[in-house]
Amino acid sequence: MSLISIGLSGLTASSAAINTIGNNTANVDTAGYSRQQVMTTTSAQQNIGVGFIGTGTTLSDVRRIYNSYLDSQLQSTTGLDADATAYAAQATKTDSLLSDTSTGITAVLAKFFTQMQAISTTATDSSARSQFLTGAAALSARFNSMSAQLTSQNSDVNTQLGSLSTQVNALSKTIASLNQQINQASGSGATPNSLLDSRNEAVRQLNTLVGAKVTENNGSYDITIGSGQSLVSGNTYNTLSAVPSTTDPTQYSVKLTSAQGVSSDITSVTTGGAIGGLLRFRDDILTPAANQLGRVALVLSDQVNTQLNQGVDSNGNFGSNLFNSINAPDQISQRSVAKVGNSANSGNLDVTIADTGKLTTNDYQVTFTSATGYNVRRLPDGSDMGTYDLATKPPPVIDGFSLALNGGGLSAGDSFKVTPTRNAAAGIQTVMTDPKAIAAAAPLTSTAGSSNSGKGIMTQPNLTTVMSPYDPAGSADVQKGLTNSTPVKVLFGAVTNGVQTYQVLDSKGNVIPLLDASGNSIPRTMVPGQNNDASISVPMVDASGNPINDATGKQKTFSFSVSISGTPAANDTFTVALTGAGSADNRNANSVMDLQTKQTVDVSTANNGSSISGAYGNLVSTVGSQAAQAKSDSTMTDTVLANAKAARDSVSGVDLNEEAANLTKYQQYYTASSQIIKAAQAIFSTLINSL
Amino acid sequence: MRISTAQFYETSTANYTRIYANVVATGNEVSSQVKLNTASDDPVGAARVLQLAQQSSMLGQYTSNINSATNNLNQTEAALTAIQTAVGSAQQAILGASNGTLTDADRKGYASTLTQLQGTILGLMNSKDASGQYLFGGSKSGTPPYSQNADGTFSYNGDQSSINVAIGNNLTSATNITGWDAFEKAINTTRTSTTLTAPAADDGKVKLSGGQVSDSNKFNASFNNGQPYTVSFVSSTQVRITDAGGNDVTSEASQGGKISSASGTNQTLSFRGLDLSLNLNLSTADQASGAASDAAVAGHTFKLAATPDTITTARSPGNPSTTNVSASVVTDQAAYNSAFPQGGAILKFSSPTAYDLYQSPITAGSKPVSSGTLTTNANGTFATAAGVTFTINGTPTPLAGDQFSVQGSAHQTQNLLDTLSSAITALSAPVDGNPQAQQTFQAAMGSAIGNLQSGLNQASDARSQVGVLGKAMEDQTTTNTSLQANNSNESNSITQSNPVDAIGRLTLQQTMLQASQMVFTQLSQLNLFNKLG
Repeated sequence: MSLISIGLSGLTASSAAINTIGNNTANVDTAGYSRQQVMTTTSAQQNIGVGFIGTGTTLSDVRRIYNSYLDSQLQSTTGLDADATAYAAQATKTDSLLSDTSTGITAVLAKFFTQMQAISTTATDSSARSQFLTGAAALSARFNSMSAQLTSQNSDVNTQLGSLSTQVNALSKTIASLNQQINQASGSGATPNSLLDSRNEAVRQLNTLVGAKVTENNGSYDITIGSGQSLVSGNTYNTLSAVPSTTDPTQYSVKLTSAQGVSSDITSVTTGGAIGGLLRFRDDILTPAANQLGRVALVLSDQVNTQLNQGVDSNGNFGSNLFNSINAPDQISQRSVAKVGNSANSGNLDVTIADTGKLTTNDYQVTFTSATGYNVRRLPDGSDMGTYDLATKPPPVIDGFSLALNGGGLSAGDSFKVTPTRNAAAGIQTVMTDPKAIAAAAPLTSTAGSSNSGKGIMTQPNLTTVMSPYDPAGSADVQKGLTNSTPVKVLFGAVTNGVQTYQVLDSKGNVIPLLDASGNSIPRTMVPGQNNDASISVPMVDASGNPINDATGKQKTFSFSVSISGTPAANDTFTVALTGAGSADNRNANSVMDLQTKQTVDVSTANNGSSISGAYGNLVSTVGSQAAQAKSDSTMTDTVLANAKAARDSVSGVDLNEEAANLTKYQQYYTASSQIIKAAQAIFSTLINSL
Repeated sequence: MRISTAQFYETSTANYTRIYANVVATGNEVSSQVKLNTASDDPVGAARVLQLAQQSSMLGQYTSNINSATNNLNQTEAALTAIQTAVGSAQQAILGASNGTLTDADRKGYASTLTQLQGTILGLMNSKDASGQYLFGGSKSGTPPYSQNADGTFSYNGDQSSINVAIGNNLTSATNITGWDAFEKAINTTRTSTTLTAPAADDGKVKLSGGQVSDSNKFNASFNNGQPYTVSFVSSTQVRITDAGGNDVTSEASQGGKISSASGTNQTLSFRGLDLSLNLNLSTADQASGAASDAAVAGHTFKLAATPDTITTARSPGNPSTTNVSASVVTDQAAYNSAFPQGGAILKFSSPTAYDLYQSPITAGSKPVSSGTLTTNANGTFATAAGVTFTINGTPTPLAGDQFSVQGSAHQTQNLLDTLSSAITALSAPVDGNPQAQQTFQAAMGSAIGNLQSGLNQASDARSQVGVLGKAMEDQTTTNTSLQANNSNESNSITQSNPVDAIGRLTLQQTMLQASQMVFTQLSQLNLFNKLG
C-alpha cells in the first residue's frame, strides 16, 4: 500500500480526534454531556511474503465515556434531593406561620385570658368587659387568618402539582420520541452519542419532578413511577394530571392516564421529585396542622361557651355564648364531603360534635353498606372504627362526633370523607356584642340568716346541673327552675349524739325531702366541727308553680353542692338565692380562667391530654421539629447529590485542561502524519525526477 | 480523582453560596441578638419557650390582681381605722354622759355629739373605691351597704360574698371585707329581756333590767336550754328562778338568789353569764319594817328570755286606704324560721279581705310565700302569714293594692349605727326627777357601752383580717417576682444569642468567605488553554 494512504489514514484519525476534542470543549457546559473519545484500530495487514506490513489506522469508534451505574445513582439522588427541597421549602413556610408572634395564636390567646382575669378582678368594670370582647374578636380573627393561610398554602400545593404534571408530560413526550430516534439511529450499528446523552438528561430532569425508575429494554428506556406504574414505554407515554380528588375536592390527586383513556389514581404511591415532596408535605404537615388548629378552636369555643352559659351576667340574665356554637347548622354541614359518584340525591352528612375532649386530628372515611348502615374507617392508616346505623337513637358517638343524614336517601356504596376539625378554625366567630352579657357571676349565692347564733359556715353554692348551650330546651327548663324554685333555705335542727340534722325548705316553707334509692324520705345530717360536703337537689317548678317534668313524667331537679362546717346552732338558717343584676361576684369568671391550664384537649389518651395553650404549643413544636428535620434532610440530600454528581462528572465530565493537553497531542500527531505524506511525496518526486 | 471543569465551577459556586448564606444568617443573629427565630431553629427550646410564655403571662395576671386587691384592702383598712377612732370618741362621750349628776340639757348635748359621730361612721361604712364601687357591700357593690329605714334603724343592703382572685399558682385570696363580717356580726350584749308577768299593773316597786351578757361562753352554753325562765321575788331578800321545765335553778344565781332589801340601790343579779340590774323603789312606808318590805316586793314575777325577733311594718305611702298595721308579733316560731323571707317581706292586699305575703322586692314574676284572708274576733282584726300575726287597724278597712313592708330584725347582733341610735334615744328622753326613768336610762347606757365595745371588737377583727390578707399578698409578691425572674432568665437563655459566640462565628465565616474567594480567583486562572495561546 502506498505511503500516502498510510499518512492519509493518520491525518484522518488525528483530525477526527481533534474534531472530537473541539466537540468536547464546545460542550463543556452542556448539561448531561458525556465526553467523547475517538478509538482507532490498525487497518488490515498486508502479507508481503516475509511478513505482514500494516496499512495505517482506521477509526473504529467514537465512544462516550459513560458509567451507567453512576448515572442511575445521579438520577435517584436527584429525585431524593428534589423531594427534600420541595418538602423543606413548604415546611419552613408553615413553621414561620405558626411560630411567628405576629401571626401565631400564642400571644393572642394569652391576652384573651389576661383580659378575662381583669373582668374577674372587677366584674362591674365596663371597660374591662369591652376590652375582653375586643380581645375575643381578635382571637377568633387570628384563628380565621391562620386557617386562611393554611388553606392558601394548600391551594399553592395544588397549583404546583398541576404545573409539575404538565412539565412531566412534556419530558415524557421527549423521552418517548428520543427512544424512537435512538432505535432508528442504532439500526445502522453506531451509537448515537448525543441522543443518548439527551435522553439521560431528560430522565434526570424528570427525576427533579417525580421519582422515576429506568429499565432498559432493547435500547429503549422504560420509565416507571410510583410503585411501578408505567410512564413511558418504548415510543408511547402516559399522561400525568393533577385533578381534585374524588373523595376530597380541596386536595388535588395525581392521576396517570394511559393512551387508551384508562386512568388510575397514584397519589398514595408517588414518591420522589418535587411532586413526591409536595404530597408528603401535605400528608405529614399541612393536613395534620390544619386539623390540630381546628381542634384547638373547637375546644376553646366549646369550653368557653359552656362555662359562660353557667353564669349570670350584668343584667341578671343567664349567660350566653361568646363564640358561635360549634353545632350550629352551618357548622355541622361543613364537616363532611360526599364522594364524587355517590348515588343521586344522596346529599351529605351532618357531623355533630358530642365531646370535644375526645376529638382526634384524623380524618375519617364513612362508607355505607345499606341505606342506613355504615362503616367508619380512620385515615390515614385505615383502621376500622366499627359499624353503626343511622337509625340508632341516641346517635353513636365515634371519637367525639356523631353522624346524621342531611339529604335525600343513601344506598350501599355511598362514601363520605368526614373531617371533624379541619374547618373549625375558619368557622370560629365571636358573636357576643354586649359587654354586659359576659356572665362573670355564679348563679347561686348563699347568705347566712341575721338571727344565726351558732358558728356554722356554709360555702358559696356551686351549681352542678349543667345548662348546655347545645340543649336549648333542657337549659330553658333549668333556667325556669332556678328562677322559680329559689330561694331555698337550709334550716339547722338540734344536735343528738354528735350528729346534727338540717332541713332544706322551698320558698313557701315546705320541706324538700331527701329520698333514698327506694324513694323513702331520709333525714339530712351533718357532723358539727367537720367539713361536710352536701349535694342538694331542688325540684323545679315553673312560673305558675307547676312542676317541670321530664319525658317520663318525673319532676326535674337541679342540684348544687355546698360544704358545711363549724357548729351551727338550732334554728340557724342559710338562704340560697339567685344572684341579682350588677353583681361583682366573679366565681364564673374564675372558672373560665381555669380553662387556661385545665386539660381539655385530647383527654382520652393515657396522659390526660393537654390544655388549650398546651395543644397549640404542641402543634408549633411538632411542625418546628418537622421543619428542622426537613432542613437537615435537605442539607443531607444536597450533599449526597453533590457527591453523586462529582462521581459522574469525574468519569464523564469534560476537563478543559485534559482537552488542551490532548489538543496539543493530536496536533503533533497531525503534524507527524502530514510529515509522512510529505515524505511520501518526496519519495515519489525523487523517483520521478530520477527517471 | 478527576475533576471536570464544570464540576469545579459548580462546587466552587455551591460552597461560596453556602458560606455567604451562613455569613448573612450569623450577621442577622449578631444584629438582632435573637437566635430562635422560628420553631425549626430549636424545636425543643421553642416548646419550652411557649410554656414559659404561658407561665409569664399568668404571673403577670397575678401581679395585677395583687395590685388592685392591695389598693382595695388599703382603702378598707383606712376606713376601718377611722371607724375605730370614731367609736373611741363615742365611748368617751357615753362614759361622760352616764354621769348621774348631769341634767337633761347636758345629756341632749351629748346626744348631738353622738348623732354627729353616727353620721361620720355611716359615711365611712359607705366608702367607695376609685371606680365608685362600695367597699363593704360584698358582691352588691353598686348599692350603698348601709341605709336608714323609716323607723330609724339601719339595715345592711349588701351581701356576704367575698370576691376571690388568683394571686399565685393554685392560690386565691379574698379582696374585700363585707359589712356583714365587719359590722353586722357584732354580738348584742343585751339580747335578753324581762317582762313583768305579775302583778298585772306595774307599780314600779321592782325594776329588773333586760340583762347584759357578761360571760359569753357561759351564756351560750347554759342559758338557751332552759329559757324562758321565771324570776319570782319570794321576799325582799330572796328571788327564785325556775326554768322552762319548772326546775328550780336559783342555785346558779349570784349569792344563791339573795338580794338586798335596800331601796334604790343598783344591785346586780348574775345568772348563767347574764347580769341583771335590779332596783327596788320602796316607799318610806314599805321600808318601815322587814315585813312591810317583803309584802311590797313579794309576788312580783318576771319572765326572762332571749328577745324574739321584732317585726316592724311600715305603710307604703301610695296605699289607696289609710289602714295601718298596729302590731306584729311572731306567733309560730317554727313557721317563722322556715318560711319568713330573708331580707324582708311585703304584705299586699288583693281585696279588702284577702292578702298575700311576698318576698321583697316584688317583681313581675314574684309568687306569694303565703296567702290568706283576714280573721276578726273580739280582740281585733288579724292577718297571719309565715308565722307572724299582724294586727290591722279595723277602720277604715284595707283596699285592694294596699302594701306594707315588713322587716324582721333579730336581736342576736347589733351594728354600731343601731347601738348609737339607741344611745341617742336614751339620752334625748327626759329623766330628771324620775328615778325609774333614770334606772331605765342607766340600763340603756350600760347596754350602749357593752355593744359599742362589741362593735369595736368586730371592726378590729376585720381590720386585722385585712392585715393578714395584705401580708399574704406581700409574701406572694416576693414569690411571684422571683418566679418571673427565673422565667425570664430561662427564656432568654433559649432565645437570646450569646454575643461572644455569635461574633466569633461571624469572624470565622467571614475569613472562610475571603479564603474561598481567593482560592476561586487563583484556580480559575490555572487553565492550560490560557498558557497555550
